[in-house]
Amino acid sequence: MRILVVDDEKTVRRSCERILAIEGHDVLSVPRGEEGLERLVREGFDVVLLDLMMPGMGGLETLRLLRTMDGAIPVVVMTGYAKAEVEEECRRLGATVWLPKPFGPDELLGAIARGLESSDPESLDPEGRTDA
Amino acid sequence: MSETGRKVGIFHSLGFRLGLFVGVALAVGLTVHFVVSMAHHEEALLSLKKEEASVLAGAIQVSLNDAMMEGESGRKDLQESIEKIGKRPMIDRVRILNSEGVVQYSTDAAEIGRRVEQSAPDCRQCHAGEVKPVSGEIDLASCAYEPSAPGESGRVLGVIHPIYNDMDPASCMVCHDDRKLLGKLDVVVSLGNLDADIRHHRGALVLFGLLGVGGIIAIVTAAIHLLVHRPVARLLDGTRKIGSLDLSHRLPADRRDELGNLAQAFNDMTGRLQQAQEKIRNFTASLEEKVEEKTKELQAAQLSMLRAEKMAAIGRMAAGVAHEINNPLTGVITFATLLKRRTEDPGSSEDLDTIIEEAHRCSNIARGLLDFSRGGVLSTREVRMNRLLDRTLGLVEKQAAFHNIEIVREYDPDLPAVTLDEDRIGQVILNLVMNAAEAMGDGGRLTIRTLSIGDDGRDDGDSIGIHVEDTGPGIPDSVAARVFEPFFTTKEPGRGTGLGLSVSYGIVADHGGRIRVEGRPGEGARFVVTLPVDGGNE
Repeated sequence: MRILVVDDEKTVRRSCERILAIEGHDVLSVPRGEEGLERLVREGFDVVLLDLMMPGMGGLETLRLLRTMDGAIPVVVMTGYAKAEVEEECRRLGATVWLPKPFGPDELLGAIARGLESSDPESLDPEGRTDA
Repeated sequence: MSETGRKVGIFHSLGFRLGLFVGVALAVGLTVHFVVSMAHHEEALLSLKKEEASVLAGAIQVSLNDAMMEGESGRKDLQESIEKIGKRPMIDRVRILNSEGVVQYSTDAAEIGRRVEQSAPDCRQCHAGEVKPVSGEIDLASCAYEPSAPGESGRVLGVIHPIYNDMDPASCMVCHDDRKLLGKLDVVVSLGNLDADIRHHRGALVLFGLLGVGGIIAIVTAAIHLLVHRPVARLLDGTRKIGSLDLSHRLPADRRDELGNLAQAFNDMTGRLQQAQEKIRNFTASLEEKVEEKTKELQAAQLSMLRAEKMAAIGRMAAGVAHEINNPLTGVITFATLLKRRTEDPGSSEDLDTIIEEAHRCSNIARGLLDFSRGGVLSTREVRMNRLLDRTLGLVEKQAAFHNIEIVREYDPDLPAVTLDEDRIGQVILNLVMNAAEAMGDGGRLTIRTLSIGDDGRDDGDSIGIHVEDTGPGIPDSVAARVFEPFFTTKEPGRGTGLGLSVSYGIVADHGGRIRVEGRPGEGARFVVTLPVDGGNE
């Protein structure tokens, strides 16, 4: 599968690359939300791994825009920041899976699997999730 | 005279003035009375004296009768007798005038033969300025006059005693035929005694008058002093005391006169002033109390706010750090896991396990910090606190740490149910109870208390309180102020993360409650948790 990783931390990108490569996936990782969206539009992916806390266009904004462009693609939101309201907000905006940091290979792969198997997200149907 | 305040000079004092007034009035009155009565008296005396003189003149005439009867031969006798009579005390002069006014006989021999005119001043008093005929009908009783020339010893009184013909052919008519008026006997007596008397009398009157007036002035002054000055002085003294705010003072008001009324009125006024003063004092005291109260409240609120600020600042920083940590931890866990999958050496595998474990531990620490900074989602429901406490205690009672610890439950049986996250609050209770057990390492008593708190002023609605008390060494003030800070611990490094209380703080705060610690070193510690019944922030 083609997997897009959006996270400003190099370590996280490298970890994701390594784990997914071992599983045989095609990974592209970018440090910023804008770049991520750009690449998504241009190239198309099967899953998006999205960090929340990023400089510039933050994770939430990226998620929102992403959903206007693609309502179906599974989005795994990664974050070390465990605030309840934020999780709520993410699901509302259309995140599929919530993956808290730190995670290891098992947790990451598990999250991706969950994202794929539910065409419906883990929780509420996100608003604005439309088929364009 | 007045004893307090501005000295009233004697000459200004009421008493003196009144006394003077009375004295002067009295003196004037007495003088008038004196003068009038003296004049009266003198007149009366003089009248009396005139009568006396008249009687005397008659007596003298009688004594001279015999000599007169002797006719010519009696003349010398007559003159001698007159001279003898003239020598008697009080008799100034005696003479006999014939009907034409010529002196026939006199104590003053030199005047014999002289004529006394009727128009002479002395004679005019009776003859009223008319020259009366010598003969004819003259009904003259003896007539007193006041001679213009004083006698040798002062005032004199004269009396003319007419000598009438007795119409007896055998006596007067022998020489004088039927002439009616034969002559006049002129007797002048001295008024010396009278005058002396009068003088004496006057003197006595004046003396006694003065004494009397003086006495009355003295009495009036004394009376004024007694009746007015002393009570007025007391009034003055009283008002002075009251003026210097000694409002308990009361004037003696037992008199029934105007001063008594004044004193009474004054006392009433003072009484009312005192009441007002009392009211003001009470009001001031209660004001002071209120101010103190409010000041204390303000200070407490300030302190509380400061603490909350501090905690919030620490929380924000902690959250930032914790969040940042998770990224590198992801790296550690990921690569350690991958490495572990590739290694066949059991030793290495074990070591890698350790690495992964420790990385997870780091993560937990970070999560603890984030919990402290209020990041948790609460899943709440209505809970009976007493039961939750029992359940939590049940978890630990059997543990070794609690072997020597006596657990005392003081539950309020009417505690209302509270809306809260059972797991999280359970965590808090556990934390507090474990801390207490650790503090009482050698045994002691753990007291768990619940109580209902009514509206405690800051939150809306009711709250409940939970006390976790131990009989350990207690917490010094310097520690107590920081005990909820993340990573603050009094334990040795490696024992405990110092997160427990800070996490508890965060959880309680998430519920809209408060947690604090009380107690002094040596008296054990008491942690007090207050939770709003309705769940606060929900």
